[in-house]
Amino acid sequence: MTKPIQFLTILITGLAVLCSTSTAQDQPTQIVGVARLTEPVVTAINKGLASLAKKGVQNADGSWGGNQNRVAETSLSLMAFMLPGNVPGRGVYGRHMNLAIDFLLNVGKSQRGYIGTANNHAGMYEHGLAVLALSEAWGQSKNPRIGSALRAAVDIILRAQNREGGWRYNPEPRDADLSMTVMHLVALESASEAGISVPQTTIDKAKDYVLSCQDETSGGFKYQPGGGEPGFARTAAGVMSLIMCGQRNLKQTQRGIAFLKAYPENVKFGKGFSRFHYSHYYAMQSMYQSGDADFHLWYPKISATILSTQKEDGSWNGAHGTAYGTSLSILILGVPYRYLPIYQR
Amino acid sequence: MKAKLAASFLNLLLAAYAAADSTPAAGRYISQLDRKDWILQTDALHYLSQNRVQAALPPIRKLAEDKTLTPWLRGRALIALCKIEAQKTPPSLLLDFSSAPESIRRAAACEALEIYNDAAAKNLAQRLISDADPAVQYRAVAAYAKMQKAAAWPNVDQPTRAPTSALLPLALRALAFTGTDAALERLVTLMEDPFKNQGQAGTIVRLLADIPEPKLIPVFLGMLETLEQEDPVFPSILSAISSHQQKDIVAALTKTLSSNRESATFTAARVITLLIQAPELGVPLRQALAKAKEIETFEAGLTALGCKEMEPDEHQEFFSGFLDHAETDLRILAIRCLSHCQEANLYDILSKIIDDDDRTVRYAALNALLLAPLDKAPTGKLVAYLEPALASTDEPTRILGFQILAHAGNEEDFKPALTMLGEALKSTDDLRREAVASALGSIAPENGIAPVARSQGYITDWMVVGTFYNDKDHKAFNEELAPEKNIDFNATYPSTYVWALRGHQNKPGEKAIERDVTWDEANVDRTNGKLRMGPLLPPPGTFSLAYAVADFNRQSAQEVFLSIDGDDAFKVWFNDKKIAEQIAPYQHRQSCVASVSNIAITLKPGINRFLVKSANIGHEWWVRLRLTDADGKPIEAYRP
Repeated sequence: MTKPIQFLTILITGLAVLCSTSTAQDQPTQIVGVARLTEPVVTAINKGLASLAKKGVQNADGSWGGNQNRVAETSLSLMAFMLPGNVPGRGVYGRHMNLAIDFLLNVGKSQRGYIGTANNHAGMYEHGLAVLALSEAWGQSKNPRIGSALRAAVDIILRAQNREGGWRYNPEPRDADLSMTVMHLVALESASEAGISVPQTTIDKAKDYVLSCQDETSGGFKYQPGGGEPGFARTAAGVMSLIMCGQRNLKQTQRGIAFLKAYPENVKFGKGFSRFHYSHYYAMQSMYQSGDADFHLWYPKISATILSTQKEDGSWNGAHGTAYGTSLSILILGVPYRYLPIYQR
Repeated sequence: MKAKLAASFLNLLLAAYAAADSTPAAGRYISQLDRKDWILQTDALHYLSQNRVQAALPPIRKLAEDKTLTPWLRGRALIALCKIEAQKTPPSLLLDFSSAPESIRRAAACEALEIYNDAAAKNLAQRLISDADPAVQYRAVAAYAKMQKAAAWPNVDQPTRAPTSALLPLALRALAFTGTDAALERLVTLMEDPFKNQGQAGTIVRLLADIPEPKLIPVFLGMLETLEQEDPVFPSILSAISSHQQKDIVAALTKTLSSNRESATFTAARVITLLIQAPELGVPLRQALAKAKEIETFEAGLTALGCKEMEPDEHQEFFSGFLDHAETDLRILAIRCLSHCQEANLYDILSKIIDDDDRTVRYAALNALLLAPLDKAPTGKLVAYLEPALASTDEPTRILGFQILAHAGNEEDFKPALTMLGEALKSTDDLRREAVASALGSIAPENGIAPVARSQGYITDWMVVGTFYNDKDHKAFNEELAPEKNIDFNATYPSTYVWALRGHQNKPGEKAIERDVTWDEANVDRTNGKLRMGPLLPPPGTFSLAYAVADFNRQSAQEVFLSIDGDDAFKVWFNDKKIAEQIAPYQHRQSCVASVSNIAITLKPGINRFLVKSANIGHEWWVRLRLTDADGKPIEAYRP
């Protein structure tokens, strides 16, 4: 019952934006929610999407990227297209998106619901990303296979949760780490929003695992509860997942946000920042969800860095391939767009 | 050599194809067919035929046709080939094998014949029933019985009347396929002695396990009755039963339970627990248990009925009937079963048992309460309910009581709990004091934590300022900074901090960040009295130091003892005089706790002051002060 309403809302919002942009060409900025997407940002996103859709960039099977992280790059690219309101099967990018959805569904079908790239150490990451992308696509796409594929994929995630409440590299309930747990917590939240049944106990246990990774002294998040140093990327991921679980006002979440904000600006907004895209994908969403003040503090700085690193052809380099860098750059820049349910406050 | 290389290359190609097309292991097993080791080859044949890997057909056919190999291995290859092909009629290779000079290959042909059911197969089986070798004959009889079922009786009857010991398993297989009452009756009679006494149990089970005849389930249940659970054949029989449809297993178990034999009840209960938790078996099992006498049978029955899938709520009354049983183990088991009942009000049911004379029963009851739904807990009256446990002289009982209080209690229980247990906070028995404090901390309202900590002698009310930059060598810790020269709660101090989360200070390009810091009120937020600096001060808290001041009022002078601990380092002044300084050796990513105990100090009438300088390199950061008298009893210190 929620699906048609969600879809309709998106459609109406999309039309409203289309109308406003077409009749207000003299305005230098586009207002989306609380944020102003400047002309350079809109142009950069459009150029980025065009670079992903350029002939020969998307593989014949509908995927993006090389053999190693094909599912991840495809999932992120699909989300990047959906971000500004593109709908699978319609418009300029409709075919690209349909192909991408088919690719993800075919991988899942051939592996009994598991959507990670076979033999990829980080396949479980990809599985989570694919669930996230397909959950966001469900309701927008007419592909009738998404629902059953999502149910099978979510079932694998549910069965792979370990005793502590987390997930790790294999689809089995053995060990856990924060990064993988956040990926699957976000995927489950998204799937649940999309209408797939996810037990609240699973979410609660995962949330507890995330909280157990918080460093008491700094408020940052560690890779695992036992030890290790808190880091920016881990904290951004931890905070984002807690916010998605409805824990924005939790003291621990607020301490995590304080950690992100206090992190040295010359480091975190620098071009060479380690795990730049991964970190800011979560950090940007966290700041957006945290409130207008934090968003306005953060967004201009990160968007300036990202705009300065866009290549001539519209793409961005990324640690795991061009499609990875491009799609995540778009997803970070486009956070103020609210067509993806996951980006809504 | 060239041909060999070409063959290997082909197998590699096929392996790659299989890996892409089928299960990930298929490619490995196809390669394994090339190994000159019959165990590995047989293992591969088994896997590939079970999974019907089509890509494996050419190399398997090659094995079957290879005259240099043993007849046995070739026979295994033929069987695997037939299973993967799954055709309706026997292939020509099977016909070749059926006329082979080696009886082993002819027997393999008979075994493969079980896959087929057409006229050609029946004719061939009939022909082989007359084979000169009895092993081939009996294989053929079994294959024929599989094809013809009851109609095979004329061919099955004679050979199964008195088979030799070696041929008995095949005779049993033929009888099982025939499936008539007469055939099964003979099967049970024939196997009774060899199963029990001649070490043939494993072979018999293996040859009967894949026969989809539901009438065999009671036969298997009968076998289980004669075995201990530790017997290696036991799991094979369970596995054989599990291959049947659930409705057939349930029907067989129901019938077994109505047999009025206690050993059958015992066996059925074990099968329910281990194999098939079907709620419809609950009532028949309960009825059978009503006639049982042995403790062992009750144990097996309770265990089965208590399985969550058996809907234990339906048997709540039955479980409760064992709470007064003379046998302790049964009482404990009944409590555990009750803890699986979602609708049972364990707090009511176990109210007397948590004070049972038998401590193992008490532990079981208290542990069950830890699992009970929280909405059944007597909120506000929990302390009174748990009084026998909380006041018990038995330490494990007390600890369990505290755990339940922490688990099921809430703010409404805090005041009565504090009244009842408050005295324990002043105990010199540190283990008890800490357990009580922890339980109270779990149910305390926000403003209830500090009083619990204070009752134990911890200093709870502080003013804190920080952070100031410190380095790995504690340079700033050893210097005199502004706050310790003159304490002014209205002052603002310039400070710097550096992000050095990976344990590296002064990373290239990393600038010290400047900011102003001021004094803020702070309270301990744990009943263990620790003043945790991290949540009070701005991140990151590494390579940092902070100051904490506690002022408290005394009516008269008193000699007391001060204990201090902290992570990583502290200096403490009492009424402007330095009384302690400790630095714990730094250990990367580990707690580094420094401590000093029982420093004698004299409290003066009026305001007394502690000033603490606390430093942290990494990991945890806290400090804690506790006052006691000469007997170790806590002294409470209040903010003026």
